[in-house]
Amino acid sequence: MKKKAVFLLLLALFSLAFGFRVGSTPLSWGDIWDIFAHKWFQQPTTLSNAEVIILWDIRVPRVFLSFLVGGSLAISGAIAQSVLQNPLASPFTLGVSSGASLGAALVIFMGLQLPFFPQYTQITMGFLFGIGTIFFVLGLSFQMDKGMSNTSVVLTGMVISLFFNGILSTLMVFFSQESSKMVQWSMGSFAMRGWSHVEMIFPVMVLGLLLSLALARELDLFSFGSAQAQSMGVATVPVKVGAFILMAWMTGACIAVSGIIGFVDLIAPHVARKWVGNRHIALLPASFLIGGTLMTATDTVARTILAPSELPVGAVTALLGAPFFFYTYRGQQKKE
Amino acid sequence: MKQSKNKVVLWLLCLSLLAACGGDSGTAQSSVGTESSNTEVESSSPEADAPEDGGEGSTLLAFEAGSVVQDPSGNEFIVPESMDRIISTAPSNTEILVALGLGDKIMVVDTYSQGIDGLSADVMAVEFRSPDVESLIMAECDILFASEHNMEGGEDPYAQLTESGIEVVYIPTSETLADIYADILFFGQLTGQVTQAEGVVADMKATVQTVTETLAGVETKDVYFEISPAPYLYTFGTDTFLHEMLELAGGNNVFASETGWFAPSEEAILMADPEIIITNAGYMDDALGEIISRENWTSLQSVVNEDVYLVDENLLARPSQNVVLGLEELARAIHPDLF
Repeated sequence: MKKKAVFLLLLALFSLAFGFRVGSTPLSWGDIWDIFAHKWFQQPTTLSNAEVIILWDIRVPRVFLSFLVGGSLAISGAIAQSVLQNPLASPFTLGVSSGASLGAALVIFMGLQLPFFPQYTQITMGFLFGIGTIFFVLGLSFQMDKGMSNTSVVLTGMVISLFFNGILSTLMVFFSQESSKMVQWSMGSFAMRGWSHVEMIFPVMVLGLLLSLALARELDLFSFGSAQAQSMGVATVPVKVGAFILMAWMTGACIAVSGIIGFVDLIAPHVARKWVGNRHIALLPASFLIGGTLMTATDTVARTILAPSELPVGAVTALLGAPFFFYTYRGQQKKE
Repeated sequence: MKQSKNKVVLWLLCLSLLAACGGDSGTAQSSVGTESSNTEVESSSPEADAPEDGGEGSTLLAFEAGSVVQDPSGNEFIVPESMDRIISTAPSNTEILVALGLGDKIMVVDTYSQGIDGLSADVMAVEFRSPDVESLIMAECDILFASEHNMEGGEDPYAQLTESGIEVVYIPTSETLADIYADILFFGQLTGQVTQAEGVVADMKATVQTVTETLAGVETKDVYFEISPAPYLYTFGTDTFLHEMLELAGGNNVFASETGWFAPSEEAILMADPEIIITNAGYMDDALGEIISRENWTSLQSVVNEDVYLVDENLLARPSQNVVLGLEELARAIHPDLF
């Protein structure tokens, strides 16, 4: 177990270091050390100001941001899979992403603006709509089924998802001039972010990880099924609702800083389960590390493979994610 | 560039041949003879574009009604008898038609064309990519000027119109000045407004010449031209119309090593440290303020010196006579002391 933890940590550190190292501007390990020394210990540096900014203000925050977003999405995915006992469940299948898209679309199409922080209108609305959708889905499934069985929650989530997508497609016909902005938003990106975004998501992520670890025992019991969990003393409905809110909050924050990036929330928990098993006290941190590593690696690929041009990271995760999904699915079939 | 010039020359040849065939049979014979001797000269040296510059108005004739003509996209159509009711489904086409004095004959436009000066107040508007074919048919028009832009995705939204007897003419999205000149002359020949079309083209050439003469011997400046704002930066390299315009306007594209349209990485822009930043994102509330206030851009020389400019998003995006106005605007942004 310890070996695995060390391995995952090393992998994560490697992805971070690799992310610092590569980019359209060539910087050597020596240059990187030089700039870190310059920033931390006020050492003089021979590198140009542009190179210092490129590493310290662009690459480093971007690499951290992608790691934090990937990790948070992975934890959200692990929670969704465990609570719903469904390997395909994720915050996105529960409607968070389509809700957030709808919120962002309303901002783009209607030209809405927040009074004091107009530049944050889109991310705030994405965040609120993402979380709002989860409440909407939970409320509806509670109406249909007071026990909130997994099937009714998943089904409601998918129906609401499709419903919101329908509204979105209709809006895009009416506002065809703006629809390209919408398409870009829905592809997700870490470009043009800086330290301020890292500062926004860091507390969300730390708190989310701690709260989810506090729920680890309940999540373990959920893996046996709701009825079993209830018989073992878990107040299923309140715990479910609490877990969903935690998940929606983390996902909403991720969407707010990066747009919609799929697959990591689905894949990372699956890889983590294969590695460390189903006990959440190990599964959640492992999911975080794997999700973060995956996201940082894919974002590094997205911004370097065609440098100086960039690919949308959402497209790259999907390109890498889809084959992985079929691989795990086939693996499961073979076992049966 | 060479290829497109060839295309223009071929085009004009085809047109003049067609025009000649339509004329009196006796003289037509001899004129075809002289045309074909021209052909040899021109095809061996495409640089000598004789028909464009030689003899004002003498080489171009309006198309004969009822004759079969190829449009600039290569589709054949029959020149209609009357052209009193026109549909235009792209803003570039609408602008050219208005410039030729046909604004009052345009009955239907696309939604992007709405608001172009010179259209009648009660003009009907249809969706750009998925037009309502029924209302187009009901408008009982003679001819439709479509853009290849309307066909994005490979589907021709006007196939049903052709079947119902409205002639559909396709204008390609021209990407060089020479092609735009040729398009405008084609509009002139088709609508019988040849003199006006030649006048429009001559005015364009005069503007371009003024700009290039003013800039002769002037040092170029490094420019980053942004066509999509943060966080989804988008710009272009060579082989684009905007690149051609940028160079004509005395700018040096910092991404000249790339080709086509692409999304640049932030660090590539910081490394290039352009002298001037130009954006055409006029739909943003404060496009310039947004660029100047970007977290990591404060040390760029263009941001420090506030050499960040907004140009009209339509002038350079629509292949019509107005591109030269866009060229002037661009030159003014890059060399404010000269224009």
